[in-house]
Amino acid sequence: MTIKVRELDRILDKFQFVVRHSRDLLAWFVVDGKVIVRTRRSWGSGDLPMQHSIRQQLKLNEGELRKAIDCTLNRDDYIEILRNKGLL
Amino acid sequence: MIPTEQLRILNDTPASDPADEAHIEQKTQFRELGKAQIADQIKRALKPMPDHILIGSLRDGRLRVTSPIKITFMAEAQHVIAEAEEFNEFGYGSNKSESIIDIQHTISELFLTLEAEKEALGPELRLTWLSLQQKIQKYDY
Repeated sequence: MTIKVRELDRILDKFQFVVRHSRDLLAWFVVDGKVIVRTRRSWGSGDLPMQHSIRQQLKLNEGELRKAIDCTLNRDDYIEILRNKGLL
Repeated sequence: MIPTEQLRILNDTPASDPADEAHIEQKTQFRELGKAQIADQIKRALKPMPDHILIGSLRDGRLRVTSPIKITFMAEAQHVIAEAEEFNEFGYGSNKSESIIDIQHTISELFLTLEAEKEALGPELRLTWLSLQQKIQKYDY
């Protein structure tokens, strides 16, 4: 499964990640003032390398990531997924 | 490297006596030995790097690595991915050297960011922060 830059950006935007512009784009998922998950992406375009690693950092399995890309997951769903995985 | 004496004999002017069979045999032996040495050198040059290394620096003057960090490599399309599994962090580049530099910067940035946010980390990132502290120290200037 591949992820394109714009797809990841859409996920980060929809899940309301806090982003910081650095050497790479750094993204943090904050819930109730706690930083729960973080990831990053390079500044290139097209397919992202390290897709497996990015998915692991987001704590999503392939099916969940597919749903996130397809916009059938929202922030609340994501929080629920993280809660079920004991990350909240 | 092929020894100088061996090269000299290989490239030397013909034996003073072309009929000198011992000299011809010696040249043949050296030629074969030279081929084997060159083949060995090529083999060494083409030998792939190991699939993991230990790094002892982050190329950041603010941070000191106190215990080696294991970096595992993976090839992905035209990229080399360098992964530090213990921190769930990765870097990449067009070759291993670039990927190492990238992950060094990334780990450094992760350390400094988690340090700044250490009072507000979720359970997993708190564990990552503890792992980072076990291997990296910040210099006190």
